Amino acid sequence: MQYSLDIDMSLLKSGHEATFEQVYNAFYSSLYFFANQYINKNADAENLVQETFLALWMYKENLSGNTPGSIKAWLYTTLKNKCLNHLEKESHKLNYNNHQLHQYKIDIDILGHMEISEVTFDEIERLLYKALEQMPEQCRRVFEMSRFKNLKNKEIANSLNISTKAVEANITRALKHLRIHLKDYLPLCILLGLL
Amino acid sequence: MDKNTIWQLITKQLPTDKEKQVWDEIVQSPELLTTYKDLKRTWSLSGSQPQFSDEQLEQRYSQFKNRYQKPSIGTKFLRQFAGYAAAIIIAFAASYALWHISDKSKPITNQVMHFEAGQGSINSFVLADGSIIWLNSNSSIDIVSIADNSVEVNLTGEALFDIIHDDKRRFIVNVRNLIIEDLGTRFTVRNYNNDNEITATLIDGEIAVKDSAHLLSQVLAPGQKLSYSIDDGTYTINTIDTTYTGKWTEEKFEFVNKTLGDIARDLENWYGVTITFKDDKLKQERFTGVIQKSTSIENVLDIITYPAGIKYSINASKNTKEIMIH
Repeated sequence: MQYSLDIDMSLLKSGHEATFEQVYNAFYSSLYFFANQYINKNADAENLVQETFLALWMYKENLSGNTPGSIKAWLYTTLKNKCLNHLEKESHKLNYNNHQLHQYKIDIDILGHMEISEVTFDEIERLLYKALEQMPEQCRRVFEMSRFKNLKNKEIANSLNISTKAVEANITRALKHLRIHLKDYLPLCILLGLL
Repeated sequence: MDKNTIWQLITKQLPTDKEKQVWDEIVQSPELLTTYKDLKRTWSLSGSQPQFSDEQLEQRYSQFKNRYQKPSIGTKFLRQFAGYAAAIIIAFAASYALWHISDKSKPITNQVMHFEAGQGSINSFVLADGSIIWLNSNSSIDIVSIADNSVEVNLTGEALFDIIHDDKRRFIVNVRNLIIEDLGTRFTVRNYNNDNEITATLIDGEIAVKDSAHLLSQVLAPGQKLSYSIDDGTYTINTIDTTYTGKWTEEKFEFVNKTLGDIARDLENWYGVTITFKDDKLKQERFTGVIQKSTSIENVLDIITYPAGIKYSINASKNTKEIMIH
């Protein structure tokens, strides 16, 4: 899936900068998205993500897991704790109305009970794959390339030897298919950014 | 209410008035609240928003590197820096950003750099020679020039300077019409807009304080505090106990025989509240103590006012809290 990307853990642990950058690029967007759900100010959310990567750089030698999935879980856990600290500090300030304070309390509760492991992300993936299996072959391939390998439409067209127009049509078809098929999984569709 | 509405709330698709209404319904029903929490948890972990473009990522990454790493020395330096950052983060359990300002071999000249610490936050950054500057809440600093033989900064608010002295390089802090020069040292300077005096307190080493009109020229010894009146340019030098000076860098309020009037301004800067006194005499009450900043303002007020038998009231409106001390 998203991190079917290859990360050489021993290179990361030994401080190989290009590998570190690879990890940074692979997870920055989704970590920022996470922080942004709980932290109102974009700049604060961004800072927390940057600090999370600094922490990764500092503790990389001591990471226990050996898979990219374990880094993902480690990054999310670290960021979660940073968000939690930030919210607790914020909630002590007084320039918030009741509505906002309430929201802080609930967010603190969500984060406080959040356990993140590799399995967490597997669950979400499994649901998606189930839906993808039902798709016509070509359509699925195009969709996977676009969504999970982050290839540009033109690159997909070249590698499958079809026109860019056909690629676009297939992506539209895939999305439509997912929408119909997953209508019972409405949350998931929204979750995957398909609706 | 159906799941979909909750999703729309979480994914911010509702108009503001509707949002509030949905929210009110959710907090009143334990069942809806559980659904909300579950969905928000999953949604936040999904990473499903549009990805950043390559250019955006590149920009973030170089920002990251500039903040934490000295490019020319590479990873070894980053490790040192990171170790230092870890020490700070662990010691003070707060979030800081470390900036790296300039590479000594390639001094940046005539370039203004601006740093600030917002309300309720403290920032620190490290200069190329290892000197550290801490910025207190609501403060900003401009590095106006870095040359081979001098560094000049302009300060608004409060800062603590831990400067590695270099005989060949002067370090100068400008605050309004005062010029404070490091002669090897650790010192704090305070110059908030809501203060009516500038203070410079020396913890270690030696600093020189001058004004632009050459009426004042003093060299301070450790433990001395110079207070300069903005209104009439008079000044006093006192010897104080500096045990707690700069405690704010550890996210603590330090009040050593401080008047309630001064304390009120510190609280205003940190919590973003307005504090008024019913009777001006109360401003002269004094208090000594160290209080964690992570605590709520009610706690701080309780600690300060209770022993003195003073009462306070809080009047909360939309985005501001007004506190009356009586």
